[in-house]
Amino acid sequence: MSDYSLWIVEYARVKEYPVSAALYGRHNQGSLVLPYCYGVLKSDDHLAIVDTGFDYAEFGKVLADTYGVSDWQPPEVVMSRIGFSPRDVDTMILTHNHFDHAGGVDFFPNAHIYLQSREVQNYMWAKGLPHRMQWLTTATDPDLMISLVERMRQGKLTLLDGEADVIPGVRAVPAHDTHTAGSQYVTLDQHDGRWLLAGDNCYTYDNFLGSQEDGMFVPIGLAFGSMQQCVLTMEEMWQYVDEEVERIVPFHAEEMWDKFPTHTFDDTLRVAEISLAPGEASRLESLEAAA
Amino acid sequence: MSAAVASPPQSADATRLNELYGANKSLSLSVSAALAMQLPPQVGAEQIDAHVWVCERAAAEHQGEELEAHFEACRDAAVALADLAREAEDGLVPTQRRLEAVRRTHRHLRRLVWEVFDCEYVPCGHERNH
Repeated sequence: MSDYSLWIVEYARVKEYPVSAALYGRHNQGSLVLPYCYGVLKSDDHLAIVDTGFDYAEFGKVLADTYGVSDWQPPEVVMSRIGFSPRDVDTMILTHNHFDHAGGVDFFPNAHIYLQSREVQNYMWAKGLPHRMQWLTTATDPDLMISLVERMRQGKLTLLDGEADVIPGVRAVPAHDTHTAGSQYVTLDQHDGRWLLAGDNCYTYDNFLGSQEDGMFVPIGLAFGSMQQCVLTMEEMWQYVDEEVERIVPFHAEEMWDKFPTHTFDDTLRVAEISLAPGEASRLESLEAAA
Repeated sequence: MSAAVASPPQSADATRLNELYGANKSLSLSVSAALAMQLPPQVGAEQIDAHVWVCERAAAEHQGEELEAHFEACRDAAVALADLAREAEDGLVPTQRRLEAVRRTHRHLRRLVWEVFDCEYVPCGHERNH
């Protein structure tokens, strides 16, 4: 069994995000704070990330400014806070190909990318879409796809056909036809139990707990696939963690910072230490000591 | 993430521009998706050449007009994409030069189109009108 240390790093946030975008059907219920995060995994043999954030330039900047994404910091800053350089990342798992999850590929030049084949294949049919159906292409941009082609040229792109061990102990699990056509989530089964990195298959813990505490799953607010498939996937995730919601790690949940040891930096961005491999010293304790 | 809604078209020319931008985007996505999968593009250079022809005609028709640069950007993006697709049809691994040309011309076009229309991106559910 490989053991990983796992951190969630915040690189930006939306201060006013509509509740109904995170929780399906909760219209006219105001807004919530939506952190933008990615996961960092370290073992003796690998430094991996799950998702990349985006680049605050070109269309990333337009989107961020349009949708109120603030406090952005590049991976060079965010990763260094826990002692890593983006150049040292050897493995990158993309949960899906949206700008806030896959828009930072170029920051990690040495990483081998793992993505579900279906997430890419989905756009091959885009060629003949009449203008009235262009909404179907509004969630991605050729910029993101060209970055994947460039990585393919370097022999550093693996498109997965379903469930697969990406590196020892780290498994990519398809969540097709949910938030996107070829979404996936990531699981780890290790010394301190199971962990699941959700991608956008949930935004907050309330997706699982029910925003009205009725115990009924509430799917995310946007599915390019189907809401039914979102709920079925949530049930798979729920079963994987044996109904322990704290073992599901969302990338957009403000409540996460209260569930795990967390350090807040001067720019208000945060890092949560989710799990430490045996022998791995806490990086937050040294940060707290230095503060 | 969510759904941005484009502003109402301001004119027939703007509508035409948005259509050509959308066509270029979907063709670029299709070609680059195929290349990432190391498959022959489902859309051939011939189909993209037809798109180039439409863009060239639009650029010629709008010379000296307010959207001249926008339609020229459509043409340039289409030409760069056609060159890439032709390379792929010949079974060649895309060169960095071709990829960079597609990226650069698409970015330029996108920047100009977003001066006329709101960004069409739908980031993870973040509709602005909740």
